Amino acid sequence: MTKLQHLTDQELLQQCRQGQANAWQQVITRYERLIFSIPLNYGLTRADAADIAQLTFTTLVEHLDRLRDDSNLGGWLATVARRHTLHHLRKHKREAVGQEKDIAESHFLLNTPAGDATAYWERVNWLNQGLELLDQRCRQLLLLLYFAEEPPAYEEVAAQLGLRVGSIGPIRGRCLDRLRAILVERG
Amino acid sequence: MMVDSQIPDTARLADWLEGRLSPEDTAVLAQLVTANPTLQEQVAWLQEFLQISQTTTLADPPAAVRQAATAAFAAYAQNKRPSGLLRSLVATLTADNWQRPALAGARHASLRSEPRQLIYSSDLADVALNAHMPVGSEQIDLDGQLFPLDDSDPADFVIQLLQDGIERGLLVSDDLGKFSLTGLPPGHYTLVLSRDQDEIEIDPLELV
Repeated sequence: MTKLQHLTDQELLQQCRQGQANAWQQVITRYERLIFSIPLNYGLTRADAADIAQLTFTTLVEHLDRLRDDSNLGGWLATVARRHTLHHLRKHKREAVGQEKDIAESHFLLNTPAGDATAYWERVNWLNQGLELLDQRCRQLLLLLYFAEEPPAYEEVAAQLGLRVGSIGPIRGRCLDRLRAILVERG
Repeated sequence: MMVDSQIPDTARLADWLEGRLSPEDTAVLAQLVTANPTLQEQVAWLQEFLQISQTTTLADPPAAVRQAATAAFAAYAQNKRPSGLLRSLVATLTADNWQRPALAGARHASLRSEPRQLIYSSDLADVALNAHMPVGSEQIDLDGQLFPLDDSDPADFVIQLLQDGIERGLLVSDDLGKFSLTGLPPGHYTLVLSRDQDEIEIDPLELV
């Protein structure tokens, strides 16, 4: 882990308030995948999801001086991203891309069966933070195999990552072990 | 085919949970897991991981997101917001329980006979106020609550009550945006609610 990766969210925010750009870059690194993915899961296009992510980071900048030191930054960002996403959906009255059912029936909006949406996204954030601490190859592999919008076949994964098809299974296992170890250590 | 004595690794357990094993290997693995608490812990973690992965897309955003976020922070870091410049908003009265058609032409209510509920609106927050005169008292209690329009934390607004330019009360809103001022003599007041570079002014506030 780099020195910045060791810092807590509160320590990063304190450095951001002092105008330290590298601390801000670490905040982006830590949360950009989460806040970009939230609108994707509500059915927004990648372009619209990128707009939501930009808006969410801008909102964070505007609130930097107000956020309490004990704020749950991941939860706060997820809540802001969800709010901006819902505003976008109401404004544009858009159907989910590629889905026949109305976005309003999405279990994410109805908070079922995942339960409370805030708790759900905090769980996703917890997992995402673990992925962020993996080496690049493991992170790319697990994101492709398990979190892609359209999970590719092993042959495509192998081609993208420069691996032998037969090695994907064992590497997947080792990467999952590393992820679990990271998450257990973080608590 | 698995040998009974083999302890399955994570890849094997993942194959099992993802339905990639033959029925025979599945049965053997299930027995091994049932008999081994350590394997059960591994399986439980994998099951949670797979449950999240099956219902969640995680993707990296385009570079433009980082570029825009970097630019937004650069402006903040360079302090492009002029320091000391306050955004001052005058709140508009949008609801008043004393302004009822049934009271038209009737004697104006007073806090001695009826509490007054007021709602003020501004571009920053709505403010609900409840003024009442406790039984047996000639003084007024004022309870209020702030509702920021952007759903931000309503705590730590500074609440200042002025009468003819003189401060009559100074306090801070609580975690729910609530505040209370007690023992106020009847009169006309100005209520200022402020935080950081924003302030909301309610003027005049009639407490009679």
